Amino acid sequence: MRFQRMSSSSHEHHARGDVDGTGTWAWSADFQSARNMEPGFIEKLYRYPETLAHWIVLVPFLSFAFITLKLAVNRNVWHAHPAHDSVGAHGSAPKTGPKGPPTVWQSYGWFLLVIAAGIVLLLIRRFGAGLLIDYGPLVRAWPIWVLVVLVFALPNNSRKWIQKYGPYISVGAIAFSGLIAISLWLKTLRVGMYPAGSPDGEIWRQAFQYTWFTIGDWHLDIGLKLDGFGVFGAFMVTTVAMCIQWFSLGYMWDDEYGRKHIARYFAEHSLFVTGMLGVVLSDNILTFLIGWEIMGLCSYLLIGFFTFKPSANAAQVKAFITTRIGDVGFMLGIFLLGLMFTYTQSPISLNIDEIRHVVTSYDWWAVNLGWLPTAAALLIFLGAVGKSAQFPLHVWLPDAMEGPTPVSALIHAATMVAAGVFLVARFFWLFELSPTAMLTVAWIGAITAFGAATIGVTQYDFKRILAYSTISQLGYMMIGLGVGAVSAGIFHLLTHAYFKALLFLGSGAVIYGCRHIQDIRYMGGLSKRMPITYVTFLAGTLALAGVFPFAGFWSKDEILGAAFHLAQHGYRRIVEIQTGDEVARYTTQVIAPNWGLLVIWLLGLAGAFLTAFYMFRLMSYVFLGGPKGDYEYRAKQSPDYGHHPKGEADTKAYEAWPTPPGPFDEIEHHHGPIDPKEVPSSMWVPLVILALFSLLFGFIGMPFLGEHNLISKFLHHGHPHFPVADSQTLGLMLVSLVVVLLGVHFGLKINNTEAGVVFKKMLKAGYPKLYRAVYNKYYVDEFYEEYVIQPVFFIVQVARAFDNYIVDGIVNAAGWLTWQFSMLQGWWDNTVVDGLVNAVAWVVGFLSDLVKPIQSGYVQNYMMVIIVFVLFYLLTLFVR
Amino acid sequence: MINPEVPVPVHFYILLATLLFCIGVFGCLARRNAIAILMSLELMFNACNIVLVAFCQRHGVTYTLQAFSRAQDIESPVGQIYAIFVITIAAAEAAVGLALAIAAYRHFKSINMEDINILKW
Amino acid sequence: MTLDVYQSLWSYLDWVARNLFGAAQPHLWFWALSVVILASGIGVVTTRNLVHAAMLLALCFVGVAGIFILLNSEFLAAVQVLVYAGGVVTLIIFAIMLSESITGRKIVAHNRQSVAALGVALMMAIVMVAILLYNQEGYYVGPWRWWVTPQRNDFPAISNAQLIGRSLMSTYTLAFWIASVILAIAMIGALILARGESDIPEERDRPPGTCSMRFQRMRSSSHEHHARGDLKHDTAESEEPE
Repeated sequence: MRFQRMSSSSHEHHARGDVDGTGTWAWSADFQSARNMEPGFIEKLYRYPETLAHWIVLVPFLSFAFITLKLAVNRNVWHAHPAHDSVGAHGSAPKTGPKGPPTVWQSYGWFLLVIAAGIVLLLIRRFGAGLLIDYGPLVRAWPIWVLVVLVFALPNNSRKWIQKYGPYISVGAIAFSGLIAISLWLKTLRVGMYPAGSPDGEIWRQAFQYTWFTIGDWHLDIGLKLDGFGVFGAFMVTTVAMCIQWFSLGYMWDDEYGRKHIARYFAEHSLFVTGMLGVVLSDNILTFLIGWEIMGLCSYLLIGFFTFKPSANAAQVKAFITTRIGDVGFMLGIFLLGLMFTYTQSPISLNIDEIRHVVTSYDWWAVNLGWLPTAAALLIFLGAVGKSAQFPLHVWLPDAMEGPTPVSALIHAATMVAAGVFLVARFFWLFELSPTAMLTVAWIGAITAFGAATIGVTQYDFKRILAYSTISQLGYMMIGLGVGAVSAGIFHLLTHAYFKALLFLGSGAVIYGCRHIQDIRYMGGLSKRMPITYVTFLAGTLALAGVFPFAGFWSKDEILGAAFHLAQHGYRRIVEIQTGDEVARYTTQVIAPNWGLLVIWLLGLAGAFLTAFYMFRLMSYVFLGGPKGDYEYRAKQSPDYGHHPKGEADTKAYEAWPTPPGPFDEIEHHHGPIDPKEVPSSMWVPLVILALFSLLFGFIGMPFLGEHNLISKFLHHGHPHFPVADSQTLGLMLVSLVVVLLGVHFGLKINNTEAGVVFKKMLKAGYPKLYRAVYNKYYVDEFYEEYVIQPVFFIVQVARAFDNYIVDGIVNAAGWLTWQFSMLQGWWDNTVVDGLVNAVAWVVGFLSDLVKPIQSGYVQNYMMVIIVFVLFYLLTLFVR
Repeated sequence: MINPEVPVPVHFYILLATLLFCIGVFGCLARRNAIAILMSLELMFNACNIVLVAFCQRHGVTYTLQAFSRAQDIESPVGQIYAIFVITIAAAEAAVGLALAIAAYRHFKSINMEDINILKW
Repeated sequence: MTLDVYQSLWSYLDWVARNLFGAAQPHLWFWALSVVILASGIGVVTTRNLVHAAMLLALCFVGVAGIFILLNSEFLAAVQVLVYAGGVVTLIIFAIMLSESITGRKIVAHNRQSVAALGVALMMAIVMVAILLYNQEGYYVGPWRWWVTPQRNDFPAISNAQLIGRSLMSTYTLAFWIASVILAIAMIGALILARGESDIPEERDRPPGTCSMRFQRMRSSSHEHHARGDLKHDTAESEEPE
């Protein structure tokens, strides 16, 4: 790792290490002076956060590793016996440890082993002169050793400690990364990405570069890319993840299962954040893909967090497989990118910048290879479709609500679904090359945005409405990217993360308060009982709907404006050709202006109307109005009654795991009349923070700012495009605002007024088939089940039959042949071999029986024999 | 009525003796009674005697000694002497054999040779 | 008259015999005696009655004695009659008497190998006759070239008895003495062997067909073990059923 950062900034630099006073510090060749000159950690944190950028990714990973290792090592789960609680879900748990109280060896033996291993290593180092190995990498990986020692240093006899304090470790890790990310963001805003006079433009290009391995001449360099996407993305991810983890501290502690497995939850959470940060900050495809896959894994694990629920199991498998289908496309796209290298005869590199340089500097359409970037872009978009739940592969997102609500917040607001959009944004230069790809992105986004919004109107599950709203908003982001407004799409991504996380956490608070009822038809009037939740949820809803001046307004409006602009002017791409020292720049028209593309804008507008409509319908169901009767009665009517895992909810509080002192004291766990109360402060504080974000974050992207539009300033691929606040823009804003307000109005009215109710019943009665189709999500799941899964199962049956009958038949035949052969051998051995032996004996007996009568004991016999022999003798004498 | 002009060729005596001997062999091998076997044995002895005496007669009862350069006829009835001894020994042997047969009969309670078959392993 | 008949008959037979064999013709007495000898010999080996056999044996001896006379050995003929026909046959008769085998039981005269013995005897006869008829070179010399016994026409100066006596006392004295010793030994041996066993009680009560303790022998394991001394089961063909 080399510290090679030159940073020039506008304010004075007389910090340590600042050699020439220009704000740049350098690593001195002189070791001693370098030690004096290197800035300390705190200074690095607020002044040079780019030097700590790698910790953003590493620290959550270390927390995940620590928690997982501790869980793995602590196998003896030791319950302090609740003597009066023998009847329960874990009635078969031993009263003390599996074999009694833990011994000293069980507690500290691992630690002693680690110490002994360290001593052995030191001895080898000291005395093993022949063992010349390079200790450099071992020393540089000091966090691993610290981790290992920490894991084993603590007593390992029970999981109590890690379940109690693991969550805090995780939150602390995210907070630490958040600090660095915030500092990085602030510095970016302060310094700017392209300070004037900087020769190479992006000064943040490589903050961290490491050669992973070399194959001959080729070496794989991985590193972090701290451009606009990276910094803003990291900022968003860490802040949202911090709030979500903070919220989950209280949320997961509520039920028995969560309390027992909270450490696993936070470990998976931290790993998830690691993955997303890897996606956002990586500069090469390999680490991007690694982070991508980590997120896929963690979404699988987290959706199926409640391992006892078969519906959760089905949902996790569905999510993983659906995103996997997208991943196949993603990887094929990468391979096509590699194929592009062969056409351009450049050495293959995994660095995104280098790929971009190679791909964009070659005129594919001229050599009739235009299909190559199109295909690559479409395949990469397929990955985004899977991950970001666009139209064909959106089916996993509603079912992913089986996971705990904070998981839904994280995965489906901020991180995983954002990764697909990030992918398209990062590779936008590839999509720029082909109009087909861009339009595909735009149209699919439009279809998704509108379709999901229509479905969301009819749903009754709280989280499911929010899931469809997520799908719809992701469609918006894709529209933004597809029409060429990359900064608009990413802007919407960032704002959406905040208000969607807020909405999900708000729903979590409501579910928490209503004892895990999720059906909104049984809720009502919670605005009075849970005021803070109500206010923050309202803020989130307004942001989502796109009401001025909340964040969603600015971002959604920018997208719609860009869509209109596409229909009006088409899309122009800026091409740069570098010949020697000169850079020639010109624009090409990628997409021609076409008023047929206005449909995209119309779909977006309709989606905005529907979004506002169903969100305020949700509000009216849940928060407004009065309670519609007794919650207890309605709880029993709820289809989600018994949402608690069977049996675990009926036990008393887990006395071996006493609630930590503090905000959890007022949690009472009993099934009485449901009395929704406000959530404790540990849970509404994150809500407030997120509400502030959703209120204020949008202002940095207002089109009125011109050059100060931070979003447009930083989120681009080298050519910032600052939106102009002209009359067209303002007019479109007004139109969308009117549409949204109409949606708000009708959404509020649809349930609370008679006219609305009558209208609803009329729609349902008038178009029953349409209503049923929309309610059943346009039967997409059933379509997949019928035409995709059943054929696969058929193939599975064929393969199974093949395996059972043919392969096993061959194996059985081999066994049968062996058996037959052994029978043959047995026959051979018994009949032939033994027969031979018996035959020999029989021959001997036969001959002896032949010979035996010679000795008859009969003297006259003997005499005759003598005479016969004498006769023979006479014959031989006298007969010639 | 011996016709001295026609001598009997010795072959006939040999033939006679041969046949008598073979008859004796047959009887020796084929008779069950031990005493009958001894009787057949006597027949064989007699056959030998006939041959002995026939040869003695054929070669002359006297023996021409050629040793001292003067031919001298020595009385040498070898065959006849031989035959006498054969008779003697045959008689002795018959006595002993019959005593044996009697003794064996007393032990085996049977004169049947087929019952005496213990000369085997 | 009668004498003439016999004389003429005899001369007729003599003429037949003479013409039958030509130059070499054995004497008629020889033929008669040989017939007697052979016939009685066959009778000895064939007859079931032992006494008949003994009588026929005596007849055979007498025939042999006649042969001796033909061979100018009168003394030997007398010795033959005395010793053989008079002594040995008597001895045999006594033995028959002592062996109690003359009761009227129908016993087959010949044993199980009689056919093979006949074959052997025939083979022997054929072989020996062939030796007679064929010379060393293998040519059949036939009966027309047989040697002729040189018959002395003169009566010898001494009688056969004197001849034998002189030889026996002078040339063959050792044989004479050995023969006498042998005779003595034989007498003693016969006495010992023929001694009675009737004073041993278990010998008296032994059932017929069993052997005494003295005849225990090793039996191989391949035989079936039956009762001690059970002889009957050792033979392949036994008269009693199993």
